[in-house]
Amino acid sequence: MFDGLHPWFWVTFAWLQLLVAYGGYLWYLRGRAQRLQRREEEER
Amino acid sequence: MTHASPDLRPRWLNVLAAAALAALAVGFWTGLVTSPPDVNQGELIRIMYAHVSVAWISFLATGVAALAGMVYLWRGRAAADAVSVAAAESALLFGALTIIGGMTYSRPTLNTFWTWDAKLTLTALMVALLVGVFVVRGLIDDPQRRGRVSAVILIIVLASLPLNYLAAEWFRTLHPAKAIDLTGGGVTMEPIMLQILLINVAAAALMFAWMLSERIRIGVREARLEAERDRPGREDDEEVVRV
Repeated sequence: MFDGLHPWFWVTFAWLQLLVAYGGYLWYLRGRAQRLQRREEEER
Repeated sequence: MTHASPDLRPRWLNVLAAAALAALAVGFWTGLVTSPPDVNQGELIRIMYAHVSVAWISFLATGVAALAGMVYLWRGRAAADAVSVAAAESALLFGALTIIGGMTYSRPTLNTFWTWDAKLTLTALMVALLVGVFVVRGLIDDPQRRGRVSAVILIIVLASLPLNYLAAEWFRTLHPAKAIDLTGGGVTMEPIMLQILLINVAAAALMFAWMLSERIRIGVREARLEAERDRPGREDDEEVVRV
């Protein structure tokens, strides 16, 4: 199934993992900070 | 005495974010464009820059998490626990990237995604224990007990890292031997490839520093909010306000 894939497929897939993981985690942190901000405003 | 609002984003954090993104862009460019193909692996050598850099930073993040956990066990400060859990989250991210990237590298070069050789097994164990940190934290309500238990697990993970580092030498199975040997074996890599690898390690380190800083800020604010909610007499205050 994976034997005929071009080397650049694997290279691209490997580097895309970094982009998705970094972007996804930073997006998660942004959402968490926004939720925290709302909770802090409710507490005030 | 006045305190800076937690909403205010410090300028150094924006500088760090810009530096991390710039380093990442340079890392991508050098890894995908500048690097020559390898004599044996051809274009697939480009995966090595992504894989090895995140693997090293997963070790660094685990070390930071465990050291902050030790400080928490020693001093009991909530800030140390906030640093520890923030670094543990990054360690889990970089650890998962190490495994998935390693599988992506292994399939076209060694014809298999996975085998239970010592280094791969120890890395999988590291990631499983890091997942365990967050499972355990989710099950414990008491913040002090939560911090202590997760610190102990992180210290166990840290203790496994020297074995993980040396496993590729001690048990020669699937995972290749180290091209950069910190135990005296020297460097067996083309200078240009070593430079590109180090650029990508620096980029991953800056990304880690950025994510860690953002996560610590959130953790400290959450701990402050939790402490405020648990403060004795708070319900009385609220009653007075309602009256």
